[in-house]
Amino acid sequence: MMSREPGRLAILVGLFLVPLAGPGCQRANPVPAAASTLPTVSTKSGLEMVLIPAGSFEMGSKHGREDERPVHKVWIDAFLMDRQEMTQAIYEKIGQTEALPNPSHFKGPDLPVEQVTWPQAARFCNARSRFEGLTPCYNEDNGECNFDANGYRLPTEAEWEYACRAGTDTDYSFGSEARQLGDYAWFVDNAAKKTHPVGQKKPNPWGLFDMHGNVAEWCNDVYDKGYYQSSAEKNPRGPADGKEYVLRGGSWKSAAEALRSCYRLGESPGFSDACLARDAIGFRCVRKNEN
Amino acid sequence: MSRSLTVLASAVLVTAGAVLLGHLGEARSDEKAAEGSRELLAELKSYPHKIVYETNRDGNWELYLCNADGSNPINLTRTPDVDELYPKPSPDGTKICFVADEGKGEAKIRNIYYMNSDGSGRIKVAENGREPCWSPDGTKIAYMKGEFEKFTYSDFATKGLFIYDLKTGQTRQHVNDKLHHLYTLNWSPDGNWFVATVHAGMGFSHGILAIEANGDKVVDLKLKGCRPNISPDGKKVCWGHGDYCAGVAQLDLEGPTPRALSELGATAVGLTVTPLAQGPFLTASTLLLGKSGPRAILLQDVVESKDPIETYHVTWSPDMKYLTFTRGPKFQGRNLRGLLPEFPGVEAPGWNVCVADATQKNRWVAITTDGKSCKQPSWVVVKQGASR
Repeated sequence: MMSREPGRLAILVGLFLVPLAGPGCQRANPVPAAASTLPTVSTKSGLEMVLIPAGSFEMGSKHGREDERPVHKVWIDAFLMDRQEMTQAIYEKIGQTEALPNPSHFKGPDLPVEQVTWPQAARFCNARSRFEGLTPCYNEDNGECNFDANGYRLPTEAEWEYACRAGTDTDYSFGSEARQLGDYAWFVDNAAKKTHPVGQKKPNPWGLFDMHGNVAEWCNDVYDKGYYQSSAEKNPRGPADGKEYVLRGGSWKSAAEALRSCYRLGESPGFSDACLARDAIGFRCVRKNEN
Repeated sequence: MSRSLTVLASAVLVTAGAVLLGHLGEARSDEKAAEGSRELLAELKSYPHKIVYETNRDGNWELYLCNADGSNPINLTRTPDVDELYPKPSPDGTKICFVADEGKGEAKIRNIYYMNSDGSGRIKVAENGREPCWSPDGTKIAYMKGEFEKFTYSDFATKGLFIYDLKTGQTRQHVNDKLHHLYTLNWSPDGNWFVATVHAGMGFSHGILAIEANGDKVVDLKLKGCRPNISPDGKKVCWGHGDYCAGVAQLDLEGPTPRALSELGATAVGLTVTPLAQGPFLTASTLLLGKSGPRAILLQDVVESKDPIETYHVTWSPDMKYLTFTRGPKFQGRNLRGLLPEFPGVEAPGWNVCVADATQKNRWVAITTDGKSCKQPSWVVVKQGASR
């Protein structure tokens, strides 16, 4: 039985420390840190998380779709993010303790969990928090997120894009050449109409796998196509209300365009849908950095 | 906070609106009225068969039995400490199997029982079981085991199909021990197939499957939606495709090649049943159990509602003239526990049991009107000469 004692996380600091930008920084992180340089954390669930450094970046795209504009500067506090999309092995391991059945269409322990609704993803975050002795972030009666809690939650849309870009300002985290996408992502051109084990493609510069493709990932934010007009400059958390929630990263079903770092998608969260069968939707968790 | 208040206000308004709908299918302004509902209610007054359903009137779930027009409702269970749910009458109408949620908190468990149709003689079939159904001769009850020891309302949290013999009290597992994530289990009248909804199981995303009763064949009937119910003659199926519509299709489970046929009879492997009208609705469809393999042919949509009024739990009457179903407001909240009104044992304010003419579209009437989570209805056969 795994211990539920909180804390005592093994922080594996890499060879080099990442310079952390302050809130007054006027430039996006110009040089992406190499994957091996970011500190990582091994959690009690057996997952590895990357300590995403604090910093600012230019969110959105001048040349993208209407909902990606305007490009605006955003400050993000440091946080921990799962290195990989949530696998079915971990979902089943933790789900067993709280009777959460694996909702995935394509079955396999190393495959990402999919066909997951937003409430199921948030509920799992809470289950994972309890499993590790942390304080759950989500109110399970109304879905509200307590960002001050030390447990797991879904990334904000800004956190997700910041982590995906990993200091880059190109279409993808490896540049703007879509023809290289096959090295980094499972998408419609190479996925053979299914998901694939996580972590098989090259990671982004901060060591995060499958930020492009495989499964699209739920974010914590409600989706509003005009949100960038009024988004907060520091740690934006999305609109207060809305019918759709944000998906990021594109999936095995997506064309290259939808895998761009700044590509936004709004999707029904499935609060009233027990039979959601969208086998291209998964998630990964983030957590407050307490060190 | 503003999000919570908005959601709460919406839920209150929707619930209040639904409760005000009242008898005879008095429709919301955005819905088509149930044409001929008064005449249908008059028809049902002389219809001999009864309807059993789950309802929560005072914080405790019970099974009620009423006449086809909703008159003379009788509490069959009367157990303040146990929640009886999901009633399924035997083919001859003499018994009812059901699930019972027993215990509190971490000790809560869903068990399967059967009893006589007057509520007497309760016998336990299985612990941690769900989704029971009767064999065509009424001598066995098939059910799914719960996937977890811990209680959950999740409908697809099932693992393993088991068959209980009423005479011997023995239980055996289906030969295919890979069956999982199935719900709304039906046993075909010829005894050769099970039909059930699958969600995230056996390689399927979501759909309705035919499962060989004594073999390991599993066939996708290509009906989009969930909660099928096979007609008493085994030749039709009704189901909900989407949250707002019940339909009827022909069913053919006898042939070697699973396929679906269009309404006009053209063969179309993998046919996706398409809604016949704009917007969400509930359809009934016919299930053919023929020599060419399991297949289903959409015949018609029978009941259609519009957001936020949902339609669920459609089942056939003994002579296939009518369908009974439930209808009520969609869940509007944002809870993370997946507590949806269509699940057995989850409160469904404003939901009522209705009866529809199986041969027409939107000729239906509500036979309960209190909105006290009246759902999961099934017909109980009453033999000729029996008193109402």
